[in-house]
Amino acid sequence: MAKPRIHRLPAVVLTIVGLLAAGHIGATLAFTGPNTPLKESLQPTLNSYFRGPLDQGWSLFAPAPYSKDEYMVVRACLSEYDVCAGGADAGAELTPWRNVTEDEFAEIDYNIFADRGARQSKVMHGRFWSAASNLTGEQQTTAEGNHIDGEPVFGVDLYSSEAEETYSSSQLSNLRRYQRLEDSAVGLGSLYMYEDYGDDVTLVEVRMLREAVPPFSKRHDPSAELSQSWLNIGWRPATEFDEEVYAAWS
Amino acid sequence: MVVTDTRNSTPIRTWARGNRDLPGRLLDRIVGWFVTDRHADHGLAVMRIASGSFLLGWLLVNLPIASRIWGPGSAYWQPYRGNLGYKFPFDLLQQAGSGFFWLWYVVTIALVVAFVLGWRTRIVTPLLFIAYTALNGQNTPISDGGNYFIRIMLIYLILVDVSRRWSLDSRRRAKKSSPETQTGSVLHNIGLCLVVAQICIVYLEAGLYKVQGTLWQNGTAVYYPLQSEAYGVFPPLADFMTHWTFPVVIATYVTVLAQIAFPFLLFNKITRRIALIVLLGMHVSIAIAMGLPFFSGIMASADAVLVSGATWIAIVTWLRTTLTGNRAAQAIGVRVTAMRRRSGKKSAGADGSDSAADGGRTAESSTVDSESEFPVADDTDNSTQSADDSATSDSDVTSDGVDAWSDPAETAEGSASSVPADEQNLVDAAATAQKTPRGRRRAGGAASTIRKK
Repeated sequence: MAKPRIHRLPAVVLTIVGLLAAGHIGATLAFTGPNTPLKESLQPTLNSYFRGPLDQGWSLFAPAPYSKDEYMVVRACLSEYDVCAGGADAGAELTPWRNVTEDEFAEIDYNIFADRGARQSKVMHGRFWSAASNLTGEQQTTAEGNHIDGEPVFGVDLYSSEAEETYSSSQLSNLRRYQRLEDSAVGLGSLYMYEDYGDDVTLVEVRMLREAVPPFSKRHDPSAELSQSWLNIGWRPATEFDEEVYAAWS
Repeated sequence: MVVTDTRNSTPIRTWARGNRDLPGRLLDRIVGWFVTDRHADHGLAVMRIASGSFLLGWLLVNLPIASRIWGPGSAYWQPYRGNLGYKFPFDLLQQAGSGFFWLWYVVTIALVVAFVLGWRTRIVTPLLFIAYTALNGQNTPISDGGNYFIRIMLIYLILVDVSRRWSLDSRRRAKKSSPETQTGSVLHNIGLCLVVAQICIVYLEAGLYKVQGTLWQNGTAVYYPLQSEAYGVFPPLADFMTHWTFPVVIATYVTVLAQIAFPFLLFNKITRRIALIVLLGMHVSIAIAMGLPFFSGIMASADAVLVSGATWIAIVTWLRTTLTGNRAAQAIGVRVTAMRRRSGKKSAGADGSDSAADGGRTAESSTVDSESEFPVADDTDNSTQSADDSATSDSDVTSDGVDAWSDPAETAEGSASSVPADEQNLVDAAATAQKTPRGRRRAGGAASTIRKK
């Protein structure tokens, strides 16, 4: 058999694209793999390379499998802003708690082709819980308080130079991430409350509940108590959106 | 007789002396692999059709709530998604109104359809990547592994000639005799390597993470998601599957072992088949028991590139035989052919032409044609350039002309001498498949049906 001859252009393409491809696969292996000293040594380059369209992660139910039920519960205050600020004692009209995750999951029961709307609050829960868990105890307590006057939750604009002086870079990174997810969670909670109560919604309060699946050894014991844990976002002003957002949720 | 002086020689030295040209031969072999053919083209066609179909299903299932989860209704994610690194053009939907969003959504569906059909994939694949990634970037938390996986795969598939087989592009090329360039082949094969490497990374790392988990180690991990509300789609089924300890432990360990071992099992034909079957079983279980059909379907679709072309041709041949070899299909085929013949006679009479090929067909040959729904007439001519020829010119081809839609048996007769060795193996396998009793019944069946009439 005659030896295959490669021409100049394909040879250049093979060399350059081949090297780039090999480098990309090596980087993917390092980025998506378990933590190793090699991975740490390549940071933050790896993180910046895999931002956006190349982002990926393949732990897939590992190292710990999904072993809990995650719920997002919301309620709203329907009174005027000043009345809501005084709480129930001042005559504020509060809605009952709504477990929006439970409502979404109704679509999943016996239906493998449920749309993704059935998982909106569940994925919000997962992202928020992870961010809130990175806060210190004091920061968590602050976040669980009521902040209804529109002032920053942590008392300082997290993107200001003052914040950079107050917090270390890793703390600031955690706080900013938390704030982004709190804003998103309050936004989602507000939309659910608008859906139920319309424009009367003034404030919203969001709580995240985790309920453990019974341990394998107690799976046949219906009386087994399920452990619960909560993370709360105190009262916040309901997020306001454009008309098109409300139209999509109507 | 050759006398070797063994006084200053060790086995290693002897071997090294005899293999001085090994690096050169190895390099030639690697270069030859990248240049002489576009590998796994049938598997990539199956991957394109299957993953595209799952993507299409996913877009259609979510159509009623698309505006809420990816359109203007997803604005509540803006504080979060604005920081994820999706830049132009992937952030175009972030501030878009509903009109632009729906236009984007419909275009995405159209691109997926074009992708599945293999229409202009050199243009469609990158456009689909942009359209899909922008959509996905609107609400990344709601995405599952399948969404991430297909997004990465679409990047690699931009390099690949995904429409070389079983596509509208392959039909068009067969008619035009479009040549395949060496550069195209090199890019195709690099893309293929990326696809296979990504599949291996996904399984290997999923397995490596699992072995670190206590519940995976003690063999009970699969129980937990099945008993959760989010993934226990059929509670009675989940209860049944997790009732006894033994199947839970087996399922847990098989999952871990199959994922970690997957890249290594690919090196041998038998173990590769075992690995693919085990993983297919795992994906089907996840799809049904955990309610993740699109995740499982997209992941399993990519595994198609690891199945040989011969196997895919045999499967397709068997499917076509099964679908077209029954009495009902044959009866329909005869009627369609008769109608075509009548209309052909009319048009021949109208324009005065006399086509012996069309007008003089026997019922038997017409029935065979009706089984070959897709044209086979021109393809064999395009494959007349040998592998050696292809090495002499950038514009030479490596047998693109063997149209994947064509009847493998006919292809074997028409172009056996002109296809490269790999292609010949596929054709042989298909011809073998055609010689099965079912295949014979199909080939002669049409004739016997007509004779009875």
